Amino acid sequence: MQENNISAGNLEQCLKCNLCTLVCPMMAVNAHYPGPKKAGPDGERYRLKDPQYYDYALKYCLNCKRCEVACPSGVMVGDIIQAARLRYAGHNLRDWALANTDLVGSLASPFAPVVNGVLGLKPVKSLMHAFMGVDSHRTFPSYSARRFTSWMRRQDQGGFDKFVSFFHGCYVNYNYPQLGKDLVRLVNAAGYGVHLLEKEKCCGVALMSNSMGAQARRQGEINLASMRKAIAAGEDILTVSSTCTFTMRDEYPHVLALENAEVRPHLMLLSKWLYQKMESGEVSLRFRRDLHLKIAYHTSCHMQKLGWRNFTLELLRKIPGVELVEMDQQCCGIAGTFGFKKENYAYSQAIGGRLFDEIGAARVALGAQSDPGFVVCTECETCKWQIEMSTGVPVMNPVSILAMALE
Amino acid sequence: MRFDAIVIGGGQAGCEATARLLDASLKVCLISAGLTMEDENTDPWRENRAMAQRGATVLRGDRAVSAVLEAGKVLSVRTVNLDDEPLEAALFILATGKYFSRGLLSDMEHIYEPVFGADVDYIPGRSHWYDQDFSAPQPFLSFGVKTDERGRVLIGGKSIGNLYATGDILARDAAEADWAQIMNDYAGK
Amino acid sequence: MKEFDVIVVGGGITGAATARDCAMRGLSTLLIERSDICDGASGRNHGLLHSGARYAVTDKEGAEECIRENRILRRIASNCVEPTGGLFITLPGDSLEYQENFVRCCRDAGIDAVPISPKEALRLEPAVNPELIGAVKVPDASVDPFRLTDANIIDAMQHGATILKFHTVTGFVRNNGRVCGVRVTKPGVIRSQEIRARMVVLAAGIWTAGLIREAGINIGMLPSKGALVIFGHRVAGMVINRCRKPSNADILVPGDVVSVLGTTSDKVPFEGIDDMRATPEEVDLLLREGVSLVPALSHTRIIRAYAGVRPLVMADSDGDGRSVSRGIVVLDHEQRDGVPGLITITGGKLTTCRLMAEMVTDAVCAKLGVKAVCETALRPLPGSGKAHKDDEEVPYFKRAAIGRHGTEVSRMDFDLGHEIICECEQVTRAEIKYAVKTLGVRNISDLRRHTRIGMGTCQGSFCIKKVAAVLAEELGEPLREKEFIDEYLQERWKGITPVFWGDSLREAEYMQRTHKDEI
Repeated sequence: MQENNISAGNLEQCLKCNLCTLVCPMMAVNAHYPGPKKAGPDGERYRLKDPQYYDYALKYCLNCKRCEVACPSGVMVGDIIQAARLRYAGHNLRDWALANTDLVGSLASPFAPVVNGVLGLKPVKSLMHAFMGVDSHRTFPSYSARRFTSWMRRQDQGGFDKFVSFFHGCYVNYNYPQLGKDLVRLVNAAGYGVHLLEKEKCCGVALMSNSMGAQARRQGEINLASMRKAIAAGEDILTVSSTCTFTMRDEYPHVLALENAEVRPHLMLLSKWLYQKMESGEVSLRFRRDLHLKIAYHTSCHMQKLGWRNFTLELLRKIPGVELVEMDQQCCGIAGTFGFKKENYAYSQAIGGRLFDEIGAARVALGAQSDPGFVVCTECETCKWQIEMSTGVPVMNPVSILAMALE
Repeated sequence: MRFDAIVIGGGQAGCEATARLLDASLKVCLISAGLTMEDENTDPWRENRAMAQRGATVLRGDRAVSAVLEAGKVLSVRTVNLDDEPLEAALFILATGKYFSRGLLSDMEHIYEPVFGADVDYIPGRSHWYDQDFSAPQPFLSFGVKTDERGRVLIGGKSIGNLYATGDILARDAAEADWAQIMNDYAGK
Repeated sequence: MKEFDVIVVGGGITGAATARDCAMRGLSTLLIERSDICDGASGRNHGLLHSGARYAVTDKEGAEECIRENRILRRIASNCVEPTGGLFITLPGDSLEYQENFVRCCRDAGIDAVPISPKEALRLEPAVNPELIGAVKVPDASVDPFRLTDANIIDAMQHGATILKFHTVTGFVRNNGRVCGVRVTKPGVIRSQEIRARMVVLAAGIWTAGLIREAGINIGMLPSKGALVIFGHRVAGMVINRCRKPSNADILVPGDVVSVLGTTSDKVPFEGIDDMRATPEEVDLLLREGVSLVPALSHTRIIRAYAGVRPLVMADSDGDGRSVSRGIVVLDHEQRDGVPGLITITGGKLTTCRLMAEMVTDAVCAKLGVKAVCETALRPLPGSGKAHKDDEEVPYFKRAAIGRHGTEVSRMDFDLGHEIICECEQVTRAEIKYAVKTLGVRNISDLRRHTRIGMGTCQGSFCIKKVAAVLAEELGEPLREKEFIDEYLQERWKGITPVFWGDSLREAEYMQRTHKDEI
């Protein structure tokens, strides 16, 4: 028996034990969703016979991959569902707008103050709720007036003899350039210069979850081509988002059939790169003693699937003034663009409930009930929106925390 | 990453072993590739979660794929997710269960243990693995890895000094180490 | 019981089709089956709807029958037939001259055989061995033998036939040498019962050989075992054949959601025909040969292996049994053996079941002086016809049922029965209710034949308890749950042990552990 057999997603290794069903966050709150086993390997046998067996309820899959993490048989349950949606489902205008993060981002950025103002207005939000199906509880992530890339191009990175390439992602570029600046500061402190990739497109995760596979594939090809060039120049490719990273490392080959074997070992989150550089003794960083932060660490779904949380946790533990609670690995419920759709809002919040309770408990455990120094730390930007909207607790990427802790 | 002890397999046996090692104040890593069959009707991650709360580093949904051995001892293992980050320890516990949990793999003629290539006690040729009567005792359920009299895993007939097996992966007749013995051996290094 | 015009012995596809034809021609008809419908060879074959191409070179008449019947079944049994199309591939080492001759013979027999390039073959069916040197496209298709038999039975009943299952024919009622009925027993009852009829038709496959001896007649029959392997999902979308003289393991058929590879052909003694099982050696042989057809089979999950018995009939003129016919054999025992009132129908194939029924019913009608003509080719079987499943409006739980039962779903109650009971095969409670009510079942094995319950990847490991509970409830026999489970697992185990490695072995451990702790 091999780890990956002939059928896509190790379909046939499924023993029908249903452990995936037990851990599926959507199953717990939504009776319309058939669950990962039925939607994945069971449904796939029928879809292989005839695509007419495609079940439209597959749209409820969060693509959190918790089914895969729990599967004792190595079945890529989530990939099977994701691939089926790409093959069989249609899409609408709202999904198109939510999915095209970099197109909408680049249209919005020059008019950021206007867009942010307009998107935040109540009547406009209600209109979006009514006509585009974006839930009115949601605040659109605000767009930054200046892109990260324009800032980055003006930074002098000439004084280094070793470099990494930075895949910044849509969120850093359009919404929160500061996170990118934090990464540059950290990498520079480690003695490396930072390059942008020759060309960067959105990783495609939003396109994939909205069934726009062909476009996701085109963007993936462009990203991989740029990464191959960087790797040929001896550079690793660093990221700050667990979702972009997971998409490009694992969904490119499994769902989009994009060959990435030579890129994969060099494509990683900053925390993994930095941990390994520090452990090998090549890099040493000095952290401030006066940064008193109480951190509840939230493992995003894709971080859990990557299995890299210990790199982040070990780094955070190196900061002297930090008190850290590792929260249990629960889904926040937003799942990228999923929670933005009005039909999904209630599911989204129901799923997140356990995590929100746990954040409250972590706050108590850290004795930080009224402490402004209490933050949730996670690698995922959509978890950040969801947690901030639902609990009011500020959420920081570990890269920002580490940059803040630099001496 | 370095630990005092690494437990491979997050089922019932692996969690029990982890608890013992945590009792002895060791820094423990638990590699938990999915769940046990007994957990069918409960929260599948309950035991793993309890170990994490007690301070073990739990690699949830990860699977050991290879090991480095030197001079009759295991130095490190690698996992699917941490393929370029060897996990080192002084003590290793193999608790990956039998076939369902992929602790033992099989082809048309052979049964083998995939991480270490440990010796497996079984009869080659699949017609010897079952009884035609479903309700009769089934030979394949008694197969498993071989150990020496102290419960240490055998590879190529030789005892591995710091690798013990526990739970379902053991052959029916194989000796299982007692914890006092394991902790003694551990303290001796 | 009243006297029937005709008693048909055997509830396989031949008996079912014969009962349908007889009933449609207005004969009062009784079908007697010792077990469940489709429990013999009819439920243990490829499920291949032959185009006739396979016989074109050696048996032109058989090939012509096949293509005619192939077209008829597509029309009258659309929910049982999947028009997959078929390929005959020529591999290195096979002869391209054979292929040329094959195409010629197909055309002579009226079969639309189109030679295509290896590249085109790979485009149509990416699973075929890429080393192929030639390919021919033929109108082969996949047919579900369980569903086809059920449809014939249901239609027979709708035309007034009586179906008596779980009754064994032990002998014949004779009057002055004439057969005028049968003696039957049922389980648990010692005394046999006489049922009279003006004609008795034996359609009991290989079991005919033993039955006919009770009438003092001998038919030279040989049991030929055919072993097959089921793969867990669709490996190929088309039927794939090897273009050479028929041999072991040269057909792969996409059957429902699985793929079936077969077959072997070995003469076996009569003693074993009630307990046919595939052996590990047969599985090894099938796989060795099968991978040259479709290389992916070497590492595709196998869910089980099984075996059926073909009845080979020796020509009457042939004393030593060398010349064997696989064609349709109708034996009028009045003419042949001086025993009036008895006719045997045997030989033939699943594909030609309707024609066999027509031939034997013609013979019965001639004896009874009935003038009605055969209409079975003109009228659709129950379930056949247009039933939409490709619509967002059709709830998902209903789609698998529509795929299986076609328009018959209109007789199922999904309001109360939408719960999916068997997850691998997506069988709902509504289908279980329907099977229990329409066809009558004793246990889960019977239920399986009429619904696909427990035929999927897990072979019942996961859902069998639920199935047993629902069946016990539907039958009103709440105390029999455990008995249902034990019977079913024992039966499944028989097909799992020959493929006892890899994922099948893992599933076997799961099955053992989840179902044995309670014993």
